[in-house]
Amino acid sequence: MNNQRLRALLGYLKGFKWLLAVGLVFMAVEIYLSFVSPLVMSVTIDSVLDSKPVDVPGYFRWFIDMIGGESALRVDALRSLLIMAAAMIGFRLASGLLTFLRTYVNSKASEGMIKRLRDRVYSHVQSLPFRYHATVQTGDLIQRATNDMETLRRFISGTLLEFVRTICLFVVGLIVMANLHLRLALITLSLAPFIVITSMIFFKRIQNLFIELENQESDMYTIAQENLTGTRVVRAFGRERFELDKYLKSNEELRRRTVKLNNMFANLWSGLDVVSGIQIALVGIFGIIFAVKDQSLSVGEYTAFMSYVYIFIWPLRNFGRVLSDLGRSLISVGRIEEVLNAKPEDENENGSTPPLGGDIDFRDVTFGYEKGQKVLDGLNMHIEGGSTVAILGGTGSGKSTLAQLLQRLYDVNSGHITIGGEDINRMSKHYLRDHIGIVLQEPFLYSKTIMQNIGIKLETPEPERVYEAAKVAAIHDDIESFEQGYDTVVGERGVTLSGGQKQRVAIARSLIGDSNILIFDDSLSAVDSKTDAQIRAALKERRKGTTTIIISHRITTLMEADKIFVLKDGRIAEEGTHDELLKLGGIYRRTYDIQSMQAEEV
Amino acid sequence: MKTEKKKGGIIRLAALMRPYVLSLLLCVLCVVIVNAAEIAKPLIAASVIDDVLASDNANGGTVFVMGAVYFAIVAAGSIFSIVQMRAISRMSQKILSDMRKKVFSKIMHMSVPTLDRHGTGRLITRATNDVETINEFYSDVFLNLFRDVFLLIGIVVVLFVMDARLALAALTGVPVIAAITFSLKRIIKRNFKRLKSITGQINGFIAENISGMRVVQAFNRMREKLSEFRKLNGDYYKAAKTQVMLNTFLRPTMEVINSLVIALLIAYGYNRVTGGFVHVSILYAFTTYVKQFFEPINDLAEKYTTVQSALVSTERIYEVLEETGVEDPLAGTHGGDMRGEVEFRDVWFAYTGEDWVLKGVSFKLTAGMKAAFVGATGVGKSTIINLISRNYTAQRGEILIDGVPIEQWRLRDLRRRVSVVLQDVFLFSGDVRENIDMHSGLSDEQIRRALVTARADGFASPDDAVSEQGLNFSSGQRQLLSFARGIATEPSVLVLDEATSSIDSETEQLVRESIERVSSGRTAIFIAHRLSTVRACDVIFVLVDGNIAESGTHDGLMALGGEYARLVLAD
Repeated sequence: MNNQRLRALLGYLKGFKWLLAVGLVFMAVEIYLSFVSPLVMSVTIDSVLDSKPVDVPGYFRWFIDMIGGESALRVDALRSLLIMAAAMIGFRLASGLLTFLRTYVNSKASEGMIKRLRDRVYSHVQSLPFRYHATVQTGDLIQRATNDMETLRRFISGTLLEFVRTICLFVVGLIVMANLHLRLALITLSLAPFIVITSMIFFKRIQNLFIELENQESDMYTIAQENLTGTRVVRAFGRERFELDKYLKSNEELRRRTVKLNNMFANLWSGLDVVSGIQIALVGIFGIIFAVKDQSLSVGEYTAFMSYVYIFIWPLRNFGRVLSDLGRSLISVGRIEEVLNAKPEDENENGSTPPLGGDIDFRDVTFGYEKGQKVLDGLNMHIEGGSTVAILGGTGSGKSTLAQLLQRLYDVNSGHITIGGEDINRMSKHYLRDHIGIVLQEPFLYSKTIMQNIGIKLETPEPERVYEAAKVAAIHDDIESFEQGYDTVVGERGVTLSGGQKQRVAIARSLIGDSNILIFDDSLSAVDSKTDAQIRAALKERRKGTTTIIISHRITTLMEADKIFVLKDGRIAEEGTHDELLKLGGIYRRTYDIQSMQAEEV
Repeated sequence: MKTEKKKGGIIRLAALMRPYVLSLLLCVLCVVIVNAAEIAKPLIAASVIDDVLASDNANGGTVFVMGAVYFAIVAAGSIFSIVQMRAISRMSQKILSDMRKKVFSKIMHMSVPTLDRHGTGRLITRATNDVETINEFYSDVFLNLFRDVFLLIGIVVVLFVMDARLALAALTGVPVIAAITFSLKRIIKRNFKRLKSITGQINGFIAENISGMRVVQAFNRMREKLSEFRKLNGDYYKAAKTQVMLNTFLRPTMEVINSLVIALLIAYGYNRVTGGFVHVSILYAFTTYVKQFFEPINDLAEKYTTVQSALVSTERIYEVLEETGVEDPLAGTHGGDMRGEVEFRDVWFAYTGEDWVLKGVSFKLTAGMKAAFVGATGVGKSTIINLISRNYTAQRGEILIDGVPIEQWRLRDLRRRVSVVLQDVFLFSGDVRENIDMHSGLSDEQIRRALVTARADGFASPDDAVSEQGLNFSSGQRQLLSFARGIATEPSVLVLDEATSSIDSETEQLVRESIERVSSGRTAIFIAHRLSTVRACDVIFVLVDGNIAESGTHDGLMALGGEYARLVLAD
């Protein structure tokens, strides 16, 4: 499992290998420079301030040659000192420049990888079929595309580089130091395993505490959020005290957990301080022993080693965190991969694009959302092109399913759906959906302006068409009455559209574009009867030749249709005009009676 | 004016620490000790170089004594820093949780107009983000500010004691470092804000489009949405790269400057008499200290921006805390039982200024009456609910409940006796019992009865879980639950706001029967678009443009042939 994730992680690097290799070279050189620059100081102390012969490892010989050999240091002490000072500055500049270059290359690679991955994830999510979106938890999918992505970003652009750098540091450092004084080199790193393992164990252990803390925090925010969103209900029922207590309890728990976690961190950092202190003291003491007792170390080299200890300490402490982060990031990789591995929808791009104004036929259509389930069971339905039909049926009778099948959001299990004689399975999905307008029961509007929401299908802004659609949907006057008119941003503070207004905006949105088929999926129920009638009249006026399918359980909405279908048990139970169905005395008649009884019971 | 505000902010932030003066003093003491140890470390190393190495005196004893001293300092330092870290975390978390408590309970006591004015989203930000920002000030900034200043002064003092002339030379770099660091940090902060705002946009975009994927796919907007996303993502890529580069720039620059200062020290400290440096140990100590200057300066620059945002947050939080638009549920002289008479006498109301929504509405409902308000959207129907439950107060005129002015009713009793079933159903996460009970201490039997009456017993029992916003129930079921909640307390006045709009005909029929049952013996007010639901009412009020245009029974109004008759014909 982890192997698979690791492979996926490596896969993300594809295409950036060269950049990464260059970055790695820069990094190695930079580390090399950071290790040899203390040697400049060492030579200064030993051979300039003192007069010992120059004794540097082979990998640093070039420096002595560059400044003119050992003899150059013997001419004038001040001159030599200044040369060494200049060299020190030179080394700093060079390593600074390299750091800069390395970071440039690395950030280009890592941010590039992230950008590409994010584009890929988003584009993939969009291409996943409706069936996928209908079954996954929306919140979870959003989490994966945002939070997990962010974890991964932090890992790739931060932790991963640190991981590589620490390893590089170890390798280069060990080589450099071993050439100076092997025994002291080993002492310099003697506590390293201990530091790494301790911090790794610690970070593994607090990982759960961290997650608990985050959950606690989001719990508390949820309480606050829920409370303020439902504030009217809270007020209306005098529930303030209860809500406040709930919040305070959560608040207190959060405080307790945070303090606990902070205390653990205090222990860790201080503990590691002590260990680091011991490490430094060890180098100091043994360095002196080597320098004074067996004279195998010069004063200059001693100071160099004292610098080396410091170079190692921070990366070592951090290495534990890096390692435990790796585990966490792999979990995110797994979650993102799960999304990326879901099969995208086959767009049938080369499918046919016939005119869609003809008759719509459902022939022996059987369908279920899950195996063994039959929402539609051998349904037959004939809708004349350009006519207006209405569908009535109880909750869960499959009314919305018909619309989803027609748009090919789902595919039939058996049977055929044809438009103008052509099977919709042979058509391009893009084309099909482009020409079937649908208004959903629960309208989803973007937090953009009303103009943009209605004009979602327009490539370029065409206010005239937007106004026209809004007028047909009987929402134009409402919009005009807003302070900002069509530029009102939906859902932002101040203006909140009522349920009916949102619904009508959604209707207007569907009227734009040249749909041959228009479906109202129970979308007229949130508007009052008067507006409902007004919209239907305007539609009739405007959309001659458009096949209109109205799904509703309100008789007044259905009754004027050219034909009414009554859906029951996955089949068409009754069909005909309003008058015919009333005479028939079936489900339609009963529904009609209930509704008119409600209307007339005085 | 602005500086005055800032000053106020600092004082407020400081005042919050007052209860913790003792533990703060303890922290300060620890910081002094820890950092004195920090400053002492190079001195010890220098004396080792001096006494042991330079004199070639192989006295093993001295070395170990030095080692022991060094270790003792480190150990003591770490013990004190544990004490300090724990104390500061305890203090800051306490301040933080007290602050959250204060803000939240303030919000809970705000009156509805005040809430509407502030906006829910902004209040949530106050209670969460802003409090978090202030927390940073206490847990991170305050003590560090102290530590940094102490370190800087400490190092300067030690340098001067060692060699005044060299100390001056060593300090030449400080102003340069400070200037570069502070200005760079400002740029970094600006870019960081940008980065954060783009991150927010990206996350918002993803959340919105995944939630609305049905629309994206139904309208074939995939390509457009993807290019929109790519653009955002590209912006992010650029800002993130800039951020990384900016962050890298500082440290190498500082190291170069440090090297320059060290070179200066060497040139300056060259002893022309002995032909060497003043002393190796001093060179070592000075170079170490010069490097140590950078951290506190960097830290100060970093914290400076944190302090600024903490001040802004403090100001915002106090704006909430000092809000005077609160309501007291126990204020008012009149309470107890309610018969359910509702009377409006020439009531005028506007949400803002002179924008009158109600223009002199008068009506009287006797106890037990069924009344309905009808009219087009925005005509003031919902406003009447807001006034009856006293979410808002009328500007002119009088509202009387049982003949007592509504302002004199104890708010808690009023809202308990007047039950409103709102159009937008809101369920709390938890279980069904909590949602019906609403903390009024109902018995299981009462809750069950409410569920039966609302016809919700078929799909919900008291122990069933309710997820956030009640999303585990269909919208129709949510309405039924909300209805059960409204009648569970057996209110004297029942207000139903469009409460049955998305229930199918047969269920609606059941609910209407139960309304009939529960509303007997109480005053019931129906607010409806669909006229079929109001025919049975004793009186129907037709609102037009903030006024009652006509009123009467269904038959009476039909006979009148006015606005109501027109509405019915259209229905």
